Amino acid sequence: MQFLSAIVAGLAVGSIYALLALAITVVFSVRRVVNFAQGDLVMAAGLVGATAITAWGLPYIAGLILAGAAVAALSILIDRVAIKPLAGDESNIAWILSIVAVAIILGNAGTLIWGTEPQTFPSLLSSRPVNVAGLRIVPDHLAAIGGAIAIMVGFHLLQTRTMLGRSMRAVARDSAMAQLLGISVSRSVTIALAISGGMAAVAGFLIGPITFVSAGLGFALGIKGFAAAALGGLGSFRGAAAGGMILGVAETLAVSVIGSALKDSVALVILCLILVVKPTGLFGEAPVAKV
Amino acid sequence: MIPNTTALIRRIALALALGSLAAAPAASQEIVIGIINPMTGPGSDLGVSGQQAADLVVNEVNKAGGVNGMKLRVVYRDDQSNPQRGVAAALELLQREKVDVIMGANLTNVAFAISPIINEAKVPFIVFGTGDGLTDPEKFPYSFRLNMTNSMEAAAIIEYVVKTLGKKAPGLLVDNTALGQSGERALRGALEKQGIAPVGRETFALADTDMTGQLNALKNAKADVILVWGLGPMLAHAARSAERAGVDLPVIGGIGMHQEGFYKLAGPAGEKWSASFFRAFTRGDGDQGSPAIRDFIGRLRGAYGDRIAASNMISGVWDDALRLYLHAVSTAKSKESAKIKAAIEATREYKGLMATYSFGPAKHDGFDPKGVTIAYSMGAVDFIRRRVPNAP
Repeated sequence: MQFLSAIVAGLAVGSIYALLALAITVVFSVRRVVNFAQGDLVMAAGLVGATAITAWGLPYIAGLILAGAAVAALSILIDRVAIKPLAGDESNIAWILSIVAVAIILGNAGTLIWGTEPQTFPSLLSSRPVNVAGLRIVPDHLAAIGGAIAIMVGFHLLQTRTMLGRSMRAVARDSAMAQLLGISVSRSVTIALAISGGMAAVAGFLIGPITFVSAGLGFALGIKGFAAAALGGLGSFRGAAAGGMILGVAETLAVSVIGSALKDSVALVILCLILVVKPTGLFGEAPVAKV
Repeated sequence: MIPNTTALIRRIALALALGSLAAAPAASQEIVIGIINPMTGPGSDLGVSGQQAADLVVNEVNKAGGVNGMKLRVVYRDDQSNPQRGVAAALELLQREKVDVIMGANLTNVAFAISPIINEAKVPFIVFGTGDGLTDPEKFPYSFRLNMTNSMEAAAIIEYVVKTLGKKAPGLLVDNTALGQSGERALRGALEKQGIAPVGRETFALADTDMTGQLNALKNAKADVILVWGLGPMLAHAARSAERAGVDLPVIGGIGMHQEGFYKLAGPAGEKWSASFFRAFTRGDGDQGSPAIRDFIGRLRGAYGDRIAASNMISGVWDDALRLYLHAVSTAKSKESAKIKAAIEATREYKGLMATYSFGPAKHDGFDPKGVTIAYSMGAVDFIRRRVPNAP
């Protein structure tokens, strides 16, 4: 039972990683860069949400809309300032420095505004565990799993059933060809960035009740999100979801197997292993060499 | 007419000499107190509390005319909870500000970084970090401490765990920084004196938010009590994790549990958790706590209103530290380092707000260990914590 309870807790954390990995993958699909600042967007959404709901007394949904809009706008701004001018040229890796700089700036801005202390976040369902057939289940964990799955299914439907989604996929596959077919590439990219910001906001609202939110939350989350995306296969939406879940459960179970001292290394060890053994990740496709 | 160059240099030299002579008495007519504390970063609650108390004492003493005719002037420097910043601050206070005494370094890692520099300069240092070894008279002859130490805390915790709770199989859950290591050493030392070894030991990182794995591991190791050491917000995560995991063993910890970050974030999960604390700031079930402490909190509230710092128990130690130093200046009739050192070492049974302090040439920790007890972090009434039943 202890083991099963740990699996549920791992899936809850994994859901957050999965959302983060999905948001990273969305940006990657349209820009071919890894947004290491995605974790800081989750942090920003959580802190804005905590302030809006706890300090200003806004209803939960209004807080989510406000934080979602703010982070979506921030995501687009980061692209315009730090990604777009440097992306596109595969030989130029200056974007890595520019995105890491953005992540540091966001973290410092968070510290300046909210300080370093964690902020309480209102519970979605309840943070106190309930007994279900001998399992100790925290309702907020179920909310995280359910919320993340809902977003993933919604994103899948958007991609496969709507013209907007098809346009985004076309841009992701070949932006020059998409443009020739009359698709507005810049509009598709902007919408993709807004969606990735929205995903970060939902992740912030799902993780807030479980871990609280603080200005220091972003960096570690960003690394975990990247590890999950790489594990699943960078560029694969299914892979991002699976990678996040696997990483969350692996991290939680690792403590009972290898002890707590190396817990934080799990994500990085998995990342290293996958890069060596299967660089394309679990669901990634090897690039086709054109001759 | 162009003045003779030699005469001009002579005039400038004379003016500088006269200027320095004029400045010298002014400098000696004040006591310059350098305070290095974490005003930002994870320990900022302690730094803000210290500044509130220090400003109050300094204003009060200056209004009354100072000490031995000398007014007090405080120079604050923020160590940002960072040892490197602390070192830079110490050098600046010693070399540029020429302070007469340095106080602070509430975080043990910062205190260890700056202690050698201050002692090398032979300037009295009233250190607030709780790590053992910071007041070794051989190593740091000018360092003194009024705060309680990790060893004093650990002794009270283990006495409570073994004698009151009758537990014999403790599991340790400590943070993986210098703070946790220092606490773990102290706990292991106190356990060893009772002939007890921990049945398990788990750690957590500052970024850990889920500790169910660690707590289950301790439970599976058949621990009958869990001893924790870390900062308040991390311990709040531990309390919530224990609730999630259904680990309902008694949990006792170090003073970090009394930080605002614990009682604000842990929620009902932390209600039964208790930790070592200043006896002066506690109350029994049927009383309201010490009138002197209530009066002190009232004075802080009068001065700072709603801005009163939550960690005001450390404000009490600051009040004692400043007054004891000024007492030493008064009895030594000097602010000269060697005389201050001798005066503090000769201090016996000095009654302060938080404890009765006694020092000696080989004893630079003045706090009376009887001043440590075990109290709940939550359910405080006007910052005064409730002692656990049958507390030591």
